[in-house]
Amino acid sequence: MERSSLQNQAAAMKKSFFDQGYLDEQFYQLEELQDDASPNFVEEVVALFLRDSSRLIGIIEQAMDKHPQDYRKLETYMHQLKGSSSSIGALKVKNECTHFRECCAEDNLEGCLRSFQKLKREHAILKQKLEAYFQLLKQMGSAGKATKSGK
Amino acid sequence: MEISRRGGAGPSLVTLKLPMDFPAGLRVLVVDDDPLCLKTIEKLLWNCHYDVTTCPRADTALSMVRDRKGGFDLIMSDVHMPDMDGFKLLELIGSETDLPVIMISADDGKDVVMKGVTNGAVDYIVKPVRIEAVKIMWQHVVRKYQRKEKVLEPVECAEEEKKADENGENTSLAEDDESWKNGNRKKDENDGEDEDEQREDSPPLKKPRVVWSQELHQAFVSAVTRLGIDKAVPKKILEMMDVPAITRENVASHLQKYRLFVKKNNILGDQKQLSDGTRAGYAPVNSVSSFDLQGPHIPGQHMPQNQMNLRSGPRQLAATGTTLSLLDRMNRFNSNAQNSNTSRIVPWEQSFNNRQMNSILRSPTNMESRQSQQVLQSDSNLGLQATQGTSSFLDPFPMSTNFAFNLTPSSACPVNSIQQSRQFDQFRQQNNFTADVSTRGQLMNGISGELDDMLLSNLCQQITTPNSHVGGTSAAETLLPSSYGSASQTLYPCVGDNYTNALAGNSFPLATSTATRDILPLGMFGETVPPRSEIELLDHMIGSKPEDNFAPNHWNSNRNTGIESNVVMPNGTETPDCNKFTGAVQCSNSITAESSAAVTTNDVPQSSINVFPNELKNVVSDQFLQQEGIGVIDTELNYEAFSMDDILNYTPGPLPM
Repeated sequence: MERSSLQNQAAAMKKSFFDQGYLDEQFYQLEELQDDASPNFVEEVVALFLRDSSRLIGIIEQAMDKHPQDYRKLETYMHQLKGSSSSIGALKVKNECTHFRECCAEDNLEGCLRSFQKLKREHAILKQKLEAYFQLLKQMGSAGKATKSGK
Repeated sequence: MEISRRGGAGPSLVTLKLPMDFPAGLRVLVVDDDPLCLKTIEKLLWNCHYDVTTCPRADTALSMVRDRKGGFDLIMSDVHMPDMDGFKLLELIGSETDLPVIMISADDGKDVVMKGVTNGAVDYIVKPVRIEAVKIMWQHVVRKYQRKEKVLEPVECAEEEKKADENGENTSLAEDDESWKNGNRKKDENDGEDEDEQREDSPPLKKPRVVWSQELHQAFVSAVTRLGIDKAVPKKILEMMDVPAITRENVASHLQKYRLFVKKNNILGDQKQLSDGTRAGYAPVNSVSSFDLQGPHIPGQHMPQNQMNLRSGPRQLAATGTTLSLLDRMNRFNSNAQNSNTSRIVPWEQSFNNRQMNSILRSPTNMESRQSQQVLQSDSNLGLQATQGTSSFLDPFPMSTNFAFNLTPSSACPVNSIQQSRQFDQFRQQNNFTADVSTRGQLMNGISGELDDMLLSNLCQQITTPNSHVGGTSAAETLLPSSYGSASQTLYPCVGDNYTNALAGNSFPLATSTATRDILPLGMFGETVPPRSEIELLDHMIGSKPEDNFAPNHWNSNRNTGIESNVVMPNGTETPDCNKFTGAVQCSNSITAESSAAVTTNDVPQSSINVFPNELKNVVSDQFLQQEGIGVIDTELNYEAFSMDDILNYTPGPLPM
């Protein structure tokens, strides 16, 4: 009972992620990859993403503070971030990376700054949501047999 | 995995016989500096049952590819990496191997994708990598092999057509000779590395090589025998052979060579009465053999004397002078051998010493391909194309050339020599062939092909000596009489590598270096085989080794097992791993489906020895005698000034049997 309630919660949470565009199809792919051999695959991947992306954002922030901006370098960082965010299906973050890169290409400092701020926000929100989600899953697991979160 | 080729009039179709669980076990190397992507892709591939290796750095990946030759089937590489540009890695891998490379990137910009395409990536996947894409990634591996197989085909066809040989429609040997001549000339013109290099270039242009394994050649010969050499047309031969992996063009090419070889060596047996009533068949043989014996004349060798001794009475060349001239020609021939290494007929020991078996065996891929190409080109129907490289050296018959028959790794000598002698004996017995070339060396001399019984005996003895290097260096490993000792093992100078191996039984590589990987196998006609990696994979896939098993786990199992298929050892070329492999060298023909019969030194089927039907010989001999063209032959054998007329005109005495 409790577990099913938790399951429902988790399912609803996840659904909201998709509905609100925080996650995309790729997240389902990750879940598909999870199996008995890697029962915590999704969580591991997400944790890896959150860690790496946070680090990268910190690097970008430092780079942004430098003057003049090295747009090429910023583009490279953003490319990396885009790659990782797309790998887990972090849609909003990914889109913001694209936008940021466009601004870099135009040497649009203002645009870059705005984009970057948005990026940081999106990233923080996603981090929060995902952490809550996996927390819920953990609860489910402890409540009963851990199962893959339903789609 | 097996690759079989369906022959026929049209382009051959390569059918891969895949293991049931294919593509399970496909070995993929993933290179990406992003650990998240690496982890995700790894899991993706793992779930598709691929054998995944991940690498966060491009330089490490490159080392892995280099170190584990043939260790991977597919590469996936990120585009933007800190230590090396993904395209640079693509370029490097492409230049050193033939592995299919897939680019992956979050960047889907047109210019980036275009760069991937132009740099030779087989695919470009935009991140995130989906399982759908990964699931069918194996197609690139298959496609690559398919393309290689197809590439092999056109070359031979082109050659055949060039020769104006109506691809078997024309039964006239005279015509064939003409075309051979032309073909030979063309070959001469094309000789040289340029062509080989061209051939070696990108797969689409690469000359495909049909590796005429022993079994294949046997089937061919029996078909020709049944049809009668004068009536044997490629089409019919192909039908009779009923081998899916070869085309009419392959057969036509092989037929030309075979005819030439037969002519030259009168292999078809003495019984055929030649127009002159003599055992024409032997005449050339004798001349050849004597020629061979004299071979590269090592100073101090008593070749002439030895020759005399070795040769049976009647066989002895009447004119030593002739022999010498032949020898000279041989030398010249050798000199002209495409492979610079092989150009000269040098005493086995010499050449061997000079080169080291290893070097011989290790013919660089390029060398081999060059050689093979040369062989192909010179495939002026002599079938016996002088091997282009060292490999050809040993194999008088093009087919054999492919297998570095003649080049028996020193390590493999014992096996080879024994094998060879066994073959030789068998052949001799079966064919009443006095001048059979039991050893590759003999074969290599190709020209000589036939040896006197005495000679044979000697040779056999020699052969059985351990470390007899049949193959010998490309340079004419002439069987100097003095060299018949254990050292020489090379029975004959590899004057016409092609020739020696023409004798079916013997022609197959007795012992090629096991380093298949590093050796470019040459098809029967010396065509270059696909690059190492591919060859290896091919070998692996077609299970060239008997124990090959097509299960994914074994995809690479044979790589290092020294599947030497048709490795033609160019003269002096290095066979990277030849040293590693001792013992029986497998001469497996990785390319052809038949190759699973990997011709190993120990596997020479006896039947293969029954190659030359009398009638065939007669016809060939007659025509050959009538034919003017040494040129043609020369070309085949890479003889520059070798005059078959001289050889042919030699009238031997009764053949000792």
